[in-house]
Amino acid sequence: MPARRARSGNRRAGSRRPRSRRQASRRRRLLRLLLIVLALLMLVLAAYTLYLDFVIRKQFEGRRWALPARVYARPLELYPGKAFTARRFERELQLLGYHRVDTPQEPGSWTQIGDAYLLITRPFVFWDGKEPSRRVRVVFRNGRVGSLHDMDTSRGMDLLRLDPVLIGGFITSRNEDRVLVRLNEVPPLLVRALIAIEDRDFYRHHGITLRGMARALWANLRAGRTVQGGSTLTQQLVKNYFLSNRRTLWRKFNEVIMALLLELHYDKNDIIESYMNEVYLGQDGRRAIHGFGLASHFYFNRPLKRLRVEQIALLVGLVKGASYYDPRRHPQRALKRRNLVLREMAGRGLITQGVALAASRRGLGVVPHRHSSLARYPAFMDLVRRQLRRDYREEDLTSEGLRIFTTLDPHVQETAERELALRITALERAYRLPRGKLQGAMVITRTSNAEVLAVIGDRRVRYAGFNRALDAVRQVGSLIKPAVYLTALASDKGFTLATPLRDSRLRIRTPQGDIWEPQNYDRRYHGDVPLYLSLAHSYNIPTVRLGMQLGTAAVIDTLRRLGVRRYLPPYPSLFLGAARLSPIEVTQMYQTLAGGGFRTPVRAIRAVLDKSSKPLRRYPLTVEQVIDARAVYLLVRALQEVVRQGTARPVVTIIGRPLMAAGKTGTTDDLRDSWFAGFTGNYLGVVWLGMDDNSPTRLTGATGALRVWAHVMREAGATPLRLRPPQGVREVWIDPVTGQRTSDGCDTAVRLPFVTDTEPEPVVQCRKRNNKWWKRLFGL
Amino acid sequence: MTVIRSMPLLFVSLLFGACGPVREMPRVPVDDRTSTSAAGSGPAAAVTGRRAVLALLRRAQALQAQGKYARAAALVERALRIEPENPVVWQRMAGIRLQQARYRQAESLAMRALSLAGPELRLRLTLWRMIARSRYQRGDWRGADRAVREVVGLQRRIHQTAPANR
Repeated sequence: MPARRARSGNRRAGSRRPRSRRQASRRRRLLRLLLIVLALLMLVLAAYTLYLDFVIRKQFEGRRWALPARVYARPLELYPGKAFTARRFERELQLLGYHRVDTPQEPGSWTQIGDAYLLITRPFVFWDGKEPSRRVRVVFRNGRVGSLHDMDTSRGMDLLRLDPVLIGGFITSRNEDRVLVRLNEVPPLLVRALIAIEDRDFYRHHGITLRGMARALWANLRAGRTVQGGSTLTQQLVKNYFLSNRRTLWRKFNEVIMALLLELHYDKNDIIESYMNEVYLGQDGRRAIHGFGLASHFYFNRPLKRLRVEQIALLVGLVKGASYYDPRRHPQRALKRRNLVLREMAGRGLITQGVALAASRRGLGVVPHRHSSLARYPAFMDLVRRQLRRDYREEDLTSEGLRIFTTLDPHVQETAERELALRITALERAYRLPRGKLQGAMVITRTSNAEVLAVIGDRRVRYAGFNRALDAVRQVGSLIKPAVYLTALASDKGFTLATPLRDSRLRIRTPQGDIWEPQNYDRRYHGDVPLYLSLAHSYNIPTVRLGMQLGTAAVIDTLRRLGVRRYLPPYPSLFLGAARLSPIEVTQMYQTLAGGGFRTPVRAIRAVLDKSSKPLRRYPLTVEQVIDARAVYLLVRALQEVVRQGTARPVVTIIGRPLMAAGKTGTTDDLRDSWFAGFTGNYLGVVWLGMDDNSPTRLTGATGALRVWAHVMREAGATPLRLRPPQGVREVWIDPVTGQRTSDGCDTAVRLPFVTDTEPEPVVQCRKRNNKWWKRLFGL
Repeated sequence: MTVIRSMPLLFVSLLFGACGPVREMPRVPVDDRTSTSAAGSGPAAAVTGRRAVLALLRRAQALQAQGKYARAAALVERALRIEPENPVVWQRMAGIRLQQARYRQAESLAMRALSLAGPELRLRLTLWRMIARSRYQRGDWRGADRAVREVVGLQRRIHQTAPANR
């Protein structure tokens, strides 16, 4: 048996041995295959890890936070004597987000005692130097700055410059906005509170904690779905950087690997700093609020280092769910969350129980939400963006943290917005126009330096759609006439303001062989009219006759010098404004007139600084003399007559005080466009009213756009236009009917300026009033 | 020929006498507007922005002396916003551009100042010198010559009126 058994055993063994050998070799092969697969897998995993490593390091080291450009209005400068009212000042403080308190103690707070404003200004870095924080006292008297004192020295100040109002930013397509902060700028309490609430073991773990993950796993198993993340701050940071919001195992796997890698490469402080700039903390329209730096401004309107305990607690509480705990929409929830954080802070010994108790009794202290400041002045921002696009790429604007200093004057802008809306509604009612169809646009610049103070591109001023101020290219009508008269005055053909122009029937054969017979607006002929009155009354026939004498080329040349770049049709109809321009182009044209023949490009930007306040580019004032200053002076005097006695007379009644404004109305065929362009001592404004579909408006330049212009100028505080005659200009007395020179002081005579040696001779005696025969006798 | 050859010498002697805006500070003509608005309400400088302008110009001058032209120009621009019709402020701006060798702009700014200068002879003299120098540096000899003629004419008029003033 044993033998048999042995034999059989042997046999069995014998028969088994080859099988087991086969099996063993198969197993070996399998093992080898498995090893190879495993090795390959390891290789892939290693490669993948390396890839993740590369990605995370690139992201982290590049610190490519999208930092939107910040756009500022002009800073307010105050000096004794400046025309500025207390009401305007309060509005400026409101826009700046200065807090009104009983006793100002920190920058950005103010109070009023009697007629004096006491404030502590915020420090600010400008392109031409720093402005430190100052304690100042300002008194306004009779619409002016009465006195200005430095409270620290109690000495009078010559000049005070406040920080500028932030009017918006250019954010990325991802709509992220943030204000970068360095760890050393963050209150230590905030860092400690954040760690206490979100990740107690932050300084001990290596990116992940097994306990946290186990706890999350257990919670998820019990719920049957993923409910808890159990993430460390490092994991949360990774999640914020790259990953979608889906909770999948694969994502978790990536997150863990990346968190470990991040911890392997970087310091804890680097990681927490990045976290504090990355975390999502709120929503402002389509703008996402990222990081504590911006959140601090967004909720409390103050820098991070000035936050109080309960404000810190609120921000830390928001990390858990910025929309669920939104303090503006859900104040009760936010309050509960904040107080929980405060208790936890006290429990961990970060603050005393007493402090926590006192803090939890305070209100949320959240400032009211200002409607998305990005959309506040859309038409102006559009202009800024276009001017910047000449020098910067789109990515630079949305990610490099540029600081852009513009020329916007919030006071002028808001006045113009209010008046435009009011006037348009009133006009619709008065002229029985269909409601809501009449559109309007306006550009206001500073007369002296062509800085754009306000832009409106739509009657709905917050609407960022079609920007009519820049893009509505419409027929300009009589707005073009000053170019014809200026061409005459600047020519060597002997034209003066008194030169009589013939206003009688005029027929012109066009190149197509048609006959064109221009008409005056009143369909009458006025005989011989002195040049300045022909412009003042905007007569068409003398203008065309004058233009024909000068030639279209000469008039186009003048328009080019004035700064018009667009195509101008070289036909006689050009003299009556058969050319299309946008309001901003008209602004440039009139700006050169207001500048006395010196062209200064209309500009909306003063300077661009990089994120560390280093000046990158300035847009300084430049001038170029393009037309003889004397001729321009004469023309502007004639434009003053337009307002004083011509088509723009209603300006005088609306404004009600002598402004000596210079301006011109413009109306196009069938009353499709209503224009007014004009300037005072400080402001130049161009207004267009019309329908988008180019249908008639029933408005002339004088009944429509002029009203808007005059009301805006009245409310914005326009100052009188006082011209200084350039050298080589002389004033003499002229009879306005005959255009002849009279002896001084005739009661029918007017004083007109002439370029020296072009004054008419000889001197005639005074003409008696209504003595028409004189005209016939001396008729020209 | 001799006239043309002696032109550079003539320029040097005529221009460099008063071109340095840092050295020369012409009298600031008082704007008649400001003096009327100031009437009866204290000294003119306190009511208008004159002191602010002077403070800005002083700071600009210091920066200019250190070669910080861009910042100096920014300060002069601030002064211009306060007193846009003060020819001296425009002249300062021209002076900065001249030092920066931006001659075309220097000339235009000086012309702008001139258009506001009125009959102020010394200011006009300074401005015409700046214009002459800008044109000369740009190689515009004809233009420079015209400017020098203005300079000579103004010098003569100042000589004639000077004894009377004293």
